[in-house]
Amino acid sequence: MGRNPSDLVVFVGKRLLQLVAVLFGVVTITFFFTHIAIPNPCNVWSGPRATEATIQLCIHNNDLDKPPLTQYFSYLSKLVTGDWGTSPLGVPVLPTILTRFPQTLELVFTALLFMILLGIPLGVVAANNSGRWQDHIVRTFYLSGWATPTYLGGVILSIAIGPALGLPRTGAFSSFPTFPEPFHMSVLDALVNLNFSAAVDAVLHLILPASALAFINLGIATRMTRTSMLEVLPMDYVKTAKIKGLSDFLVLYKHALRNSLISTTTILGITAGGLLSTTVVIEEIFVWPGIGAYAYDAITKYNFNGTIGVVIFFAIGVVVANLVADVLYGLLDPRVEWR
Amino acid sequence: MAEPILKVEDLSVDYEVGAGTFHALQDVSFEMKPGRVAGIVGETGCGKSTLAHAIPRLLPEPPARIRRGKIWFRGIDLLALPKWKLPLVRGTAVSMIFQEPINSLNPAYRVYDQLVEAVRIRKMRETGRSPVLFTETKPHDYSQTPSPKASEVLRRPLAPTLPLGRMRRLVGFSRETFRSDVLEYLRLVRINDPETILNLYPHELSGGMRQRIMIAMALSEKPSLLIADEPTSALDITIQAQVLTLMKELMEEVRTSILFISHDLGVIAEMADDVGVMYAGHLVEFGPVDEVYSSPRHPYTKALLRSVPKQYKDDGPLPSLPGSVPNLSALPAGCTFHPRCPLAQPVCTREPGPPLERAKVAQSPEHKAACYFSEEVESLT
Amino acid sequence: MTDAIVEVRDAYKHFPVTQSFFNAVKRISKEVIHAVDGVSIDIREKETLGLIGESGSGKTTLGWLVARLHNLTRGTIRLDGKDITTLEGSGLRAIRRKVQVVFQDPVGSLDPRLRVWQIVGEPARAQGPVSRAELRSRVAELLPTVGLPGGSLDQYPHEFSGGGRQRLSLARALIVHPKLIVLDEPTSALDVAVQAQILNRLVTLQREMGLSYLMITHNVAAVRYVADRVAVMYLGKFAEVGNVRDVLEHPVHPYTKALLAALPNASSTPPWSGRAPRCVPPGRGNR
Ligand SMILES: Nc1ncnc2c1ncn2[C@@H]1O[C@H](COP(=O)(O)OP(=O)(O)OP(=O)(O)O)[C@@H](O)[C@H]1O
Ligand SMILES: Nc1ncnc2c1ncn2[C@@H]1O[C@H](COP(=O)(O)OP(=O)(O)OP(=O)(O)O)[C@@H](O)[C@H]1O
Ligand code: SF4
Ligand SMILES: [Mg+2]
Ligand SMILES: [Mg+2]
Repeated sequence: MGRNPSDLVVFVGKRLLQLVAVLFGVVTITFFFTHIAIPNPCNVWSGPRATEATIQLCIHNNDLDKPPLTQYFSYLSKLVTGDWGTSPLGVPVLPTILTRFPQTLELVFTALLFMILLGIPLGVVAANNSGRWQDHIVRTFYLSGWATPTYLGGVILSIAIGPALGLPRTGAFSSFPTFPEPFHMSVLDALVNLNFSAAVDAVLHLILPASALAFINLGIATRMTRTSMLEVLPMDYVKTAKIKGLSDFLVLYKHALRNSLISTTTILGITAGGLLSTTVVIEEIFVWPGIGAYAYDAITKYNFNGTIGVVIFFAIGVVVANLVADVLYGLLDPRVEWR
Repeated sequence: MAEPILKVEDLSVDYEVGAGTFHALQDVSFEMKPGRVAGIVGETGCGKSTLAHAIPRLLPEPPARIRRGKIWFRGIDLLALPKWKLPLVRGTAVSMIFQEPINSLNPAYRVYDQLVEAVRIRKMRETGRSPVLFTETKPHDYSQTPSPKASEVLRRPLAPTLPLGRMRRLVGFSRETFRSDVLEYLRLVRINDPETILNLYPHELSGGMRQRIMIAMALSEKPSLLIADEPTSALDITIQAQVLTLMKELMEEVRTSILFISHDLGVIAEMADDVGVMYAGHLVEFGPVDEVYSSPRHPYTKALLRSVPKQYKDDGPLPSLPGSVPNLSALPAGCTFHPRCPLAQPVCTREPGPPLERAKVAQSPEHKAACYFSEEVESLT
Repeated sequence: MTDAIVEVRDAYKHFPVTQSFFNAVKRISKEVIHAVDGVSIDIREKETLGLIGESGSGKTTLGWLVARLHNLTRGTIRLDGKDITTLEGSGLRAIRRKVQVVFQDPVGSLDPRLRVWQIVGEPARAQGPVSRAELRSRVAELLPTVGLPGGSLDQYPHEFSGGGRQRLSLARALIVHPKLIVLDEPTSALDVAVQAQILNRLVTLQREMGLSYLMITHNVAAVRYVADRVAVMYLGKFAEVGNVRDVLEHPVHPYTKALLAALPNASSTPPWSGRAPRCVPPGRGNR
């Protein structure tokens, strides 16, 4: 037995090929949905006071007078060459998304970090004291997060709790950054410019939106950890760890948690993909300059190219998050064979 | 006579579950002399594992509840220890091997990482770098003889053990410091190619191999008491024989005290010096294994011994015990065995049941039975 | 031989090693487990043939072949002189009446949601329509013969002890009055005291009903008491077949000797050590 590293490469390769198929499907579906649901967006694009001539010009410029299939293929061929079109106001889609997507990633990663650092230990505590008061408190905590509608949780944090703690409520920086932003991630950019006050500022700005995002999804990490810990704790190898004379902490976190993480990572991978779409609401509330806010904007303004672009990035995010979870799963569980 | 290394007094354990209260152990008392192997036999569900787990305080509480009793281990009542001190008892003082080798090693870590933890804990305690519970000069009591180093008892030469100098104490133990110790214990359990085995994961090993590693892990902490809860029941019969042979050889070599649990009368006969027979949560007989097997003093022991098929079909039917084991949540009054006992008299239903005391016509003073009519057992056919 | 109920001639059973879909497609003919590898045996009327051997040596597979729960890869099986190697459909159902199986795992083989009369009556139902009342009375009649109270018709299997469940599977096999019962580890989950009860019951039933048994087990002591003849299986082949006294007291084949020496309580240690090779050696299937 034993596993070959090359198997992992093949595994990842296969999954990336699948990604191409997923992207193709997603683009196709979104394209036809948008174009069928709103057959003539030029009325909107051209503004309320547009003349018939301008509307006709808009229709012509956007190929809307051609049959849908022709539109679809010409769009597709441009898409693969990297020309993702422009918004109705003429702003190119791809560069916009490329500057905004990292900001969202920053938000999502921070939220994930909160979920892992808080959610998993809470799950361990709950499982280790199952049925006792610790368990009930933890459950109340994460259920309240779960039961809160996304926007409500965000609004409460931004209006009530944020100001009370003196945390900035909106944006990524207090003032417009005066340094180059190679990563488009506020904290990282500030750090590479050695601008530490800006970095602290950026971190402070991250706390509220990331907490909102994390609080809502915390229950998933906690619950999953609790459930799988309850499965692992009665196993003989936990007894083996105890009988060696290891401290309770090591028994729990080194031996039991390590094995229950195997199922928790899968769920976290799925959740991480889901977090991306949750950012649509959170970024609107906190005026976060990410792809979520852009998605909202694109959809409400009939920005077809923008919408498809966002959908592509969301799809990539979901697939990659799942792939990372699967790879982590294999790394955590030596019994898994790469298939 | 040496002080007993383990003295269990009136140990009673209940499981409180939805279906009721199960009296898994009821007033169990016995003593273990250092350097000896005590066997415990009994049918499934009679409380053997409960007893084994109660000693190093591994019972899941709840549902288990220790109702009464004392477990004296080298002068300390383990049941009175605060919870945080329990890890100090485990490993170097009391260690344990479990029934299912499939589950007893952590699937996520390599063999080396699991073994090294055990060696490290022992070294830390030996050198006083972590707290210990038993601070006497003799850290472990393998009866009176000084404990032989594992390396001394091996025929093959081993990699030289590095001197445990002051340097190491200051610098601290790195993972690799213990490599030679780990290898030494793997060779002790007769693993041929320890260097390769070290880097494998448990799922890449056979059941017999895993059980050997469990044994190595337990022994590497040099425990004064080793509890083996059916260590070979899950193994194939020929593998079982190999592991038993190994354990027997090791007993000679490391001379630790062993509490050996099995449902197999043959295994106990082979391994143990003393044997305790359990029935429905009670210890009904205890004594030197030869004497208990040749002249049992409890009707249940007698029936159990006679149920082992030793004859052919044309020799007539097997002697068998009628009825079945009582439910632990509704035990019969008095002697729990009375509904099935051929010797039962009205006195047997009187509360409390017969105590475990010196059997009336036994040769050895150590031979005890819980029966009012133990002298009549011999006459049973 | 005329009094043989079952004649197995040169039986082979190979299982493909399927690891993944691709492997299965690419190498289906190459990688096989030789679970039963050229075995010939007769089971005679009113006799018990004991089948002992290491785990994975193919005992269960051979038992299933005899009951036609597996199809043979090669070879023939005759039941009452009739070739049943390739029977299908209704012919196969007729065999089920003559050959019944008591499975290895008494817990897993009893549906926890069915009541005793449904479980025990199931094979009778499979033979043809029976009214509920008739089935219940037949089951009620049968239960005392396996040592269970006749009044437990409406209980569920989990209400029985391990021994009780083993008796239930035995009753289930008996309801169609078979000629042969394949007993796969009938007492391996039981303690000696309960085992003695079941073994006695098996022997009594055999005398009363003229049954034949194929008894598969690890347990040499149980085989000694129940069997007339013993076959020792090793890596899918018979190492030794013979009268029970001869095989157990004067084993000829080295594997039998090792197996008997490995029994706890025997004074000597096994003359060999090391793990028995598996049916599929590391170089898989190229024997
Ligand atoms: N976690 C538990 N919850 C409830 N009851 C339990 C639990 N563990 C054991 N019991 C009950 O306690 C009794 C004794 O169990 P124990 O495991 O000690 O038996 P045993 O003698 O080791 O049996 P075996 O030979 O099957 O291992 C059994 O009747 C069992 O049903
Ligand atoms: N349905 C199946 N598919 C694939 N392989 C099988 C199947 N059934 C059995 N085998 C393989 O055939 C070999 C013989 O198995 P079998 O169950 O007959 O052994 P056994 O002697 O009954 O063992 P045990 O004593 O453990 O029950 C084993 O290697 C097993 O893995
Ligand atoms: S005390 Fe009575 S019932 Fe109990 S074993 Fe002795 S004789 Fe039998
Ligand atoms: Mg047990
Ligand atoms: Mg089998």
